[in-house]
Amino acid sequence: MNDMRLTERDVNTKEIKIEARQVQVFYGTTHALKDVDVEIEDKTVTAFIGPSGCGKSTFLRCLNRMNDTIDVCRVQGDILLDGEDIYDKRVDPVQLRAKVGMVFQKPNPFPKSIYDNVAYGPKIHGLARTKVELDEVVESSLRRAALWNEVKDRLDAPGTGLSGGQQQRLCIARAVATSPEVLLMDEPCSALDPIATAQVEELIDELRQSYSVVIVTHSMQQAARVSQKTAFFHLGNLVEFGETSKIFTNPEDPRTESYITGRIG
Amino acid sequence: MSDASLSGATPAPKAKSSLLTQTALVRKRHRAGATLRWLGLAAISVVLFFLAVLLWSIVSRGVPALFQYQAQIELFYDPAILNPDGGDVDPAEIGGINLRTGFERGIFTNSLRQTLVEAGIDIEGTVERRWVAEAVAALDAAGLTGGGVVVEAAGAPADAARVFGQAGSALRAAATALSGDDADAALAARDAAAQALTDVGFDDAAATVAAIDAAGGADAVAALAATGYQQALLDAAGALRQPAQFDDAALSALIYATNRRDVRDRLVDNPDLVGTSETVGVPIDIAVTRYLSGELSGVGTAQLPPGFDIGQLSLVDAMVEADLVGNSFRWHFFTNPYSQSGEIAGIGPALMGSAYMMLVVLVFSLIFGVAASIYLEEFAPKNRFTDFIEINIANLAAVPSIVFGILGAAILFTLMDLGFGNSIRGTALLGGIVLSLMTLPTIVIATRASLKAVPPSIRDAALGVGASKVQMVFHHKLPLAAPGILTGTIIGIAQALGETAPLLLIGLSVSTGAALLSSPFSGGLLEQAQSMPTVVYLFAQNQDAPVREGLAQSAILVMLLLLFALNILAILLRRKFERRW
Repeated sequence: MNDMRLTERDVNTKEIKIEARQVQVFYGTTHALKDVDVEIEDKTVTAFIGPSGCGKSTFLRCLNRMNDTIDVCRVQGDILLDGEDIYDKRVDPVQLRAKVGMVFQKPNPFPKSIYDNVAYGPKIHGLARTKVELDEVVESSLRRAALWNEVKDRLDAPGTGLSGGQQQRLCIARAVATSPEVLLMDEPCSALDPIATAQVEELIDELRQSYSVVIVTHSMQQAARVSQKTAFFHLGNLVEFGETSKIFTNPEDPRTESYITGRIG
Repeated sequence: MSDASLSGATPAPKAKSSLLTQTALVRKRHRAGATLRWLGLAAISVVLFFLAVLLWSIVSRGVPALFQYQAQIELFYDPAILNPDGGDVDPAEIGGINLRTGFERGIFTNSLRQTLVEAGIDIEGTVERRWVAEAVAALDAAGLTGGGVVVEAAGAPADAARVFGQAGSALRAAATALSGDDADAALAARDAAAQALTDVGFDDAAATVAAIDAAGGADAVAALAATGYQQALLDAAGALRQPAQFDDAALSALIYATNRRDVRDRLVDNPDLVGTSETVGVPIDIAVTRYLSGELSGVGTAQLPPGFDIGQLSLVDAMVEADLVGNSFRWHFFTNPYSQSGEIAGIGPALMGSAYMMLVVLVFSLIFGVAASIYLEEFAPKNRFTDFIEINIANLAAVPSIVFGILGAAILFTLMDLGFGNSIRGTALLGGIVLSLMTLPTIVIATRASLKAVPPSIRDAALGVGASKVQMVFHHKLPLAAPGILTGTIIGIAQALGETAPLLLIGLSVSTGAALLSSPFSGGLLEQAQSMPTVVYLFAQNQDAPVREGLAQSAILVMLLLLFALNILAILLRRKFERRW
């Protein structure tokens, strides 16, 4: 794995998938995120790290407009997905979220069968016309989430009956099923044990082949293991953004260094 | 301690207090806990006790009232009564016969008489024997032995009554004379009384009366009164006059013979019945039912069913002996309409009316309640206006039900002014709408609570895969909230089922209106309806004690069973659809 990652790092010619410019987020009167500029590349894992309350999850939720559901939240600045402003008035957040899938901190499968969990997205987005097509989408999504072999015999079993790690992979399968272009992961492993975490991390690495993955994590080791780019947030500011190897070995900002070495955070 | 320090080993640290004894504070806390436990137990015991009393008082009266004594009689459709002028009976004519002429009463009375005769019961003889026995018993009690012989010698009971009456009058005259100042008159009256007794045949009594000191004044009066002859003779005379009073009306009073409409309808449907006879069970009069069920012994005035005498009861006894009276389940209670007469009263239209109203409530309050809750919970902006609405919905749940009745009455009068006439008055639709208004807040509150209880992670998950808000609500939140919504709905409906006050105000208690229902199962939404609670109210106000204390409880029992069934349904639905995550 390490070898592969090193070779990937050398390639720096990827296109920019998401471009954030001067993003400000307010919760009521609180200025939660200040002047964030980030460029997220395609087919890359980008990690957001930082202490609790630094705004990394807030920023992640800006990327598929999940913050819209919070009444007091206001977003300023531009976030461009493939050059289009996702906060444009003409953009339907429903369509956006089909393109930008999300996996949450706590595994949250629907209290339905495993099959229905995965099939729900394709169904509402009209990605599968026939039952056969739907079956195919479900199978390929579960395969991508490395869950197919474990659940193929009990697709009708409730998704909530799976173990924590399996549930999280089911959620990933559910997100993958709508054929997104970007996958947002909000601390996907924080509720999982080390073995499940390892499985999910391995999965993230595979997903990188097809998607642009953005992951928020508390664990610096995890960021180091899975990501190629890392952004460090502190008190609502994007402190440093760059190659993961550079952030962890040779940070430019003293705050980054303090955080990585465990002096703050 | 001293040992430990002497031994040279490390001394055990001195305990501040021993664990083996309780401190005062701990003891106090335990006392408080025990007190609370006992208080709780006492509270539950009191509640259970009252619940048991309530259930017992309802079941012990309501269940027996569900059984009814019936007389099996040969009903003979007598052409002579159906057409008093003689000749053929025309079906059209039957339909036109005035129910109040008593022609069916004639049919019933004749049929009953015929049935009794066929069963070997001598109707007049039975009544007469009972009254003679009563007279003889009265005489015997006063020491006037041999009364039976006198009655026999006199021939008809009425003649014997005259004989005893004369003797009684003579005694009364004697008492009056003895209290007067005229000694001669007193002596003469005393002797006349003694002579009268001798004439009747009570020689001992005559001697007793003759022995009274005519000059004794007040003492003599008291001595005469102490014999009790006068009262016994007059009582016996009264009893012996009764058999002559016994007539068809007294006979037919035993059975419930006033379901004339049935008989007429049956005859109109099938004119061939004229001249034939069939065995039917006819309800015994509801007052006699109490005698039959042993509630009233029939001895003494207070123990008689109101409006009945011992002669009629002796006939009832004879009928029971002849096996003409049976106790059977009152099936028609569930189909017949409400009636003033307990014998045929039922809750059929009330059950149907309540069912229709529940249907209306279910449709209206569920649709509007759930729609309002979803809007308020998921889509409404949070501002002062929606806050105001929310507070008012909560307030609405606390509004007394009679207020909704007033509102319903206002709607009713408006509709009547608009030209709907009286047609909407007392219909299941109007009742259902009023009850829906009452149920709405309950359902809104339950629905919003269960929508709130759906974990936000489900909402995130749905929005995260690109579901729209409407899809999120209808695909995910609503199904998960359904058990709570169902429970709230069923509780609301159960509440509506038991509500009386608003229905009284919009005319659902009018018994005459419901009498128009020919069959209880034909009443639609726009027909005059009754409801269970209002029928209970009507039963509880009935003039007959057996209806007040029996059928009212039976109706309550049916209603309680319905409520239990609804609650069990609510529990089962909740169990079935409850999900854990």
